[in-house]
Amino acid sequence: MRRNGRSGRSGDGWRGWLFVLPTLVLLCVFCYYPAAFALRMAFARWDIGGQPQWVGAAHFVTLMRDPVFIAGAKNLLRLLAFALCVGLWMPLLAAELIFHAATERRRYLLRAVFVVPMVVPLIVVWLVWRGIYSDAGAVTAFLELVGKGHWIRGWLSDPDTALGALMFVGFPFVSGFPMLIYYAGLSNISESVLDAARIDGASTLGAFRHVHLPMIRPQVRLLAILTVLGVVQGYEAVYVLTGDGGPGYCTMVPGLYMYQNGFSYGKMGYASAIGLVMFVAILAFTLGVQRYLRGEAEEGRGPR
Amino acid sequence: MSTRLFWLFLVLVTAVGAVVRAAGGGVPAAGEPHPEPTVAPARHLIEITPGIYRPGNVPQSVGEPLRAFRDIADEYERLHPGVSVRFRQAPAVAGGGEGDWLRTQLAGGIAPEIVQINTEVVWQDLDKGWWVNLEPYLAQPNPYVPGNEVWWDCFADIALTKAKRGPDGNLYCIPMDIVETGIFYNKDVFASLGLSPPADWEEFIRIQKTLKDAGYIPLVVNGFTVVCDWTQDIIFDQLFYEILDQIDLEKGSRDEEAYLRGYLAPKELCYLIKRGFFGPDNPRYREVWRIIRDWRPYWSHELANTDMDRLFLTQRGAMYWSGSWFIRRMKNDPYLDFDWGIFYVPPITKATSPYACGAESAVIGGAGNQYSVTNRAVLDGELDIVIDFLRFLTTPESAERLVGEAQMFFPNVKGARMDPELAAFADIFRHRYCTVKWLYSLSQEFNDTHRRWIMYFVNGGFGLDEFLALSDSYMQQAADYYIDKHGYDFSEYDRVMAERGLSGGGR
Amino acid sequence: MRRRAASSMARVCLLAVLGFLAFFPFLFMVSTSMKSIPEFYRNYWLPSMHPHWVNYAEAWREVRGYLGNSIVVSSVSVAGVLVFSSLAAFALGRMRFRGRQALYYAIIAVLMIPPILTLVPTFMVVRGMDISLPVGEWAGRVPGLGRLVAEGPPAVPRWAAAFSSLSSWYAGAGWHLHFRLLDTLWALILPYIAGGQAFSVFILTTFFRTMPGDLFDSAAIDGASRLRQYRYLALPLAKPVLGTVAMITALGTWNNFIWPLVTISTPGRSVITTGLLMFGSEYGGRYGAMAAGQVIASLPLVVMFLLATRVFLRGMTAGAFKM
Repeated sequence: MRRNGRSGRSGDGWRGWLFVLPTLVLLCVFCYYPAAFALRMAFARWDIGGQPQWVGAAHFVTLMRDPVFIAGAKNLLRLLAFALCVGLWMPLLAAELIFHAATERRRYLLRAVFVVPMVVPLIVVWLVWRGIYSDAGAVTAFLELVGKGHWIRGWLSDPDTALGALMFVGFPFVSGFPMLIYYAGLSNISESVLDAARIDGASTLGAFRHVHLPMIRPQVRLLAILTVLGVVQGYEAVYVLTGDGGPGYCTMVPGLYMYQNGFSYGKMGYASAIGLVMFVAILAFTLGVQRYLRGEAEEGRGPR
Repeated sequence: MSTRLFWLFLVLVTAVGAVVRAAGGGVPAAGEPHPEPTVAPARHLIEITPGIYRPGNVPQSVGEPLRAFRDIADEYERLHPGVSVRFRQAPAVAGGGEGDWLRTQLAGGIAPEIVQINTEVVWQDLDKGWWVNLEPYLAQPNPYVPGNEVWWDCFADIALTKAKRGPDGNLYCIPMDIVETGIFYNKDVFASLGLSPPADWEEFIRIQKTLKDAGYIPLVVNGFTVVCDWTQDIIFDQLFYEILDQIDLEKGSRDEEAYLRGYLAPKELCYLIKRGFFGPDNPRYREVWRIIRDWRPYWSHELANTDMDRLFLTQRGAMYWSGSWFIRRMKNDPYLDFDWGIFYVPPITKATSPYACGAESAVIGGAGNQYSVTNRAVLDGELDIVIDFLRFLTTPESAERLVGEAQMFFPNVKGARMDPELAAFADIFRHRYCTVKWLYSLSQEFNDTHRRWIMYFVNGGFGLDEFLALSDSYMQQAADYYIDKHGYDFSEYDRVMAERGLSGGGR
Repeated sequence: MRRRAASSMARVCLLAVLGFLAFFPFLFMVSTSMKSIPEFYRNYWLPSMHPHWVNYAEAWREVRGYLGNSIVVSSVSVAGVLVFSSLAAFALGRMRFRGRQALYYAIIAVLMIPPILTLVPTFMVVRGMDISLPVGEWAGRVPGLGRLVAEGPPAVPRWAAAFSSLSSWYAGAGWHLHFRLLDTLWALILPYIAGGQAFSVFILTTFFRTMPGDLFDSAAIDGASRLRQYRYLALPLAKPVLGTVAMITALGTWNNFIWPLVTISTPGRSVITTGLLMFGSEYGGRYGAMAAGQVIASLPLVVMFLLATRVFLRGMTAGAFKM
């Protein structure tokens, strides 16, 4: 609906394309072309150093029956479920707690406490958790202290506990970026709404459930999408902690499998096929999240 | 207000960055990459990635920084004005990424002239012309050793050196030193429990049980190297030694046999795999894994990520299966507060398994630092100088200095005295070499798969029978792939087998 | 009142616990950086009583050549991402032209491509941008360029070598000019800018879309061109959001280690993450010095974050992250 008279301007036409041009050129050269090349390789058998031979959909057929991939996919679903049930909400808890702090200065300091650790690289995180899971580590010491010494095992070596131990790394799951996003969402809620809730006698918990949650829906949606992206594509943590996907396939993930095929075995074609499947999966998940968490109808609201 | 501050910060930081960069601190550029030399250099520059011996390196993070190599290089530069030697460090990426970095450099012709690398890696790329064949030079005399007629004679263990020849029969590396594994043990803990180094496997297990009951971790190991590699090689050797004469179908050359007596080369291994020697029906092979599985309870719990050194040094672990490199730490750690010793894996006797024969345990170590020459030396026209430098390095004086300073290996140069602390390892090294190195024979994919399932099996993921069945299936695949790749013809082996009256399964 | 106080107490405790646990890795990094390895083995968690400052000297020696490069690569990448993506986002968010929506989705789709997949093909693209031109030959035929033929272009000073994609050499018939991307910092910067576009456009477009239309219409009526609207209206309003994007891009480009490892072979030209790789080792990592190196490497980032969180938050309240 055109409200504020556009003075008959029919559109920006070529000027729009001009503005987008530099971005488009960069993307074409460094993103689209490599991606297209890689995805095309999904239909070829290409060992590094050799010539590609076209095999059509053969890789996908193999993939569907590949026990490694299937195990990886199952693990991925578990990891995803965990991330969306726990990892998505812990930062919210932190954001809420900070939001209720008394002074602005205190709030700034608290935010800093969660933001600064973003600079800690994976290697250091690995050192921390190695120290915790090791035979001389915190978990062992604790179990011995409470007399449950017989529960001690190699947390990352034992098939029963490997995936769980992997999931637990990153405790307490409050990362700076999601926390900031939630915090901003909370700050966005207008004072009037908050006052109204207070006047109506809502408790903190009540206000949270009925006022905060609905109003930060867009942020939740954004973070859900980013979480899906991160979990499905992620493999560095697994690589650093277990090296190859744990005992058997207990901690294998598709991302790691793709990396192994591409760089350790040189099977670039197969790796590309895995990548293509992952791409489609991410697309599907993202659309699913969008639909499930649809908030205000943003679609179709173009520029005015 | 803080927005302005933020942008100011960004600009300031960029400016600082540019200044810091211009000040050119840190690592000097290695010289312009080819192919664009502007002026023919008057001096020759040799670059080396020497691995552990890099000057300034503090191996194991204990002791003083190393400087022997720099001293040796300085001496060489004095003897040959116009030659400049520079050391570089290769990045160590988790998972062996060093090979990838190096391959990129080699492909571009800009790798360092001398590189420390396991020669097995070099063998994979012989067809690419990246590495210099050293055979012709080894037949010539080494001018720095008085009375020397042939460079070969400079090496202490010639058999080991010759065994480092590639599949084409040529030597591509100079093995400077020798490394070996051994079991370090805490003498104080042993004394307190009335224990002493075991004479055989039964005693070994008893000792471990005692230690475990007393609350220690009996044997500290890690999954990747110790469990999957060393354990497998030694125990396999122990149980198959009896029939080695029968299954060793092809003797190596006389030189190889001096060092690798009865070694099963990849071709032999593939053949034996195809004939079912290592399948679920072979009780001898089954025993290997039964022994390993029964051994597991005495190892550290966490095999994926052990910080082994720490466990042993803080006396939570009573024994530690490590290698000669650990001597450096043990000798230089200021906080070390217990008495320690070294022994080797004891032989397995009939008391443990009917297939054992009580033979002395095999050695699984070998050449340590191996220096190879890259195509850069050829491209820069410096090959003669590089070879000359290597000859200078392999004099007894230089080798003794270089290897002795680090206290991690013992030198492979005749006349170079080894560090007395390493004597125990030299003794161990006198044992015969193991029958086969499982994880160095077939493909990388086989290695990864085998490791994966060994770890699963050892940690109780499935039982012995399942493991053997699965292992057989991927071994067959790996053998097929390898046979296919090399186009082996087994008619000769079939004949030998028939002669010896062997059927599959080698009972 | 008592209930208030109790729940407030509970809140404080919970926050303290969460905060400590989240902040712990950072504390661990700093405390490890001050220990010698033997001490680290004895005392894993608690801070050291005898700080081993040598770690910092060692780390600084390894890292100092790279710090400058990292800073420059990240800043230039951030600037590039901001400039190009804000232009594109403005067009996609405020202008009308055919194919706008499709283009938007196409750009967003880049986020879903697993990065490892494109590693090798992108490397091939970068390696392929390698052209040699025999300038001397041609220049010789043009009057007035005789001097160039004789003396050749000026040599590139050493400190600029990492940035210079152009180099020259003399061979046979005259001077050759060589344009090359690999082994220069541009091999890092350009792909980083390209890669950052998708995320940035994603965020900025939604932000621009939610701006009040009247603002732009009145400007249009006053005769402002689209470019002017962009520069004097949209950008100033978007400053906080741009700060957000800057922060995230800086973090991403700073910590990336695979790409520099693969594209830059001359050691002096690489970035800090490559320098930090030198601390790993087969025979026992130098964890103390490594941690010290990490601390040094993260200092610029930490300072930037602390400044940017203030800015970032303002960006959030201005409606940046609505979807």
